Amino acid sequence: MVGTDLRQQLNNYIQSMRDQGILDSQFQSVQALKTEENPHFVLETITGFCSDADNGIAQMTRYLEGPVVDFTNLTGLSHFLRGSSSSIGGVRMALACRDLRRASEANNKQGCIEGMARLKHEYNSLKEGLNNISQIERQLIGNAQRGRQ
Amino acid sequence: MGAEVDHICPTGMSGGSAEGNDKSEGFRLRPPKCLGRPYHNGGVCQIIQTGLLRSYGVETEVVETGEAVVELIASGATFNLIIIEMLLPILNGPETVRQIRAMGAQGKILGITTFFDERDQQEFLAAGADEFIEKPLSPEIVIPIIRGLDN
Repeated sequence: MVGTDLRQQLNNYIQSMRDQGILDSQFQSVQALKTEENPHFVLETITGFCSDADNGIAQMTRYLEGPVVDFTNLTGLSHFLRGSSSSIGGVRMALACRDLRRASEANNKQGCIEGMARLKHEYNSLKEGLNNISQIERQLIGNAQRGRQ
Repeated sequence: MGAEVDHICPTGMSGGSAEGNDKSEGFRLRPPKCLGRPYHNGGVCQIIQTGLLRSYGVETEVVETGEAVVELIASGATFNLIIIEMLLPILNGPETVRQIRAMGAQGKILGITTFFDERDQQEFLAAGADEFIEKPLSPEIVIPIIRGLDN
């Protein structure tokens, strides 16, 4: 049955992300919040997360690339992004935020440059995975809606 | 308050009914009510935290600042559980805890932070918080707390 295949595909995909350490069990806690009354919860959460992260990383890049590095704001944003990424289960990205925060608290510009590069790398992996998950989610929702008609 | 706490059966990972709503985490005595407070306008972090609590049948109320927490308690509102962020704009987490304990708030207080720090933990506990955790708020953390509220 198509629905079952899709669900299995989704589970397999999430498991592979977990195997790579990109996601942890927290993502499934988020999935569990999806209900019949709120079928778009996962999609909306992913969208919200990516929006937060895109903006946050863009801002951090500006703070890092200015004539004088704004370490205070870098620290603040690494807090924010660590909070977001850990709440969605993006464990490797959360770790990258932690390292970046360590560097910015030490006013270590080179450390921040390296940390920022790693954060972007981890975010890109996570984002790609979340986008793939979203695609399957959309299909699942679409099928469920059609099934009700 | 003399109201009895309903027995809470966490619905587990199969997903309970998330009662949509907004961003405050306050637990009420019946059903459990949680008061919380987001950092940096919360973002997705707050939505997930609130969603998780609500999926376990917890009535949650979210306010934006430590001052708002204090006001709410001062107005006589009672909560079984109050979740307070470490980093707050003006009145910080531990100070907020101090003030509401001084006003007689008796519920469980959980300090929550993005990056664990022992000094922050000491500050929170000394101010009267019962526990201090690093995000994220996961079912593993929430379920025992909610069960504990029943007692």
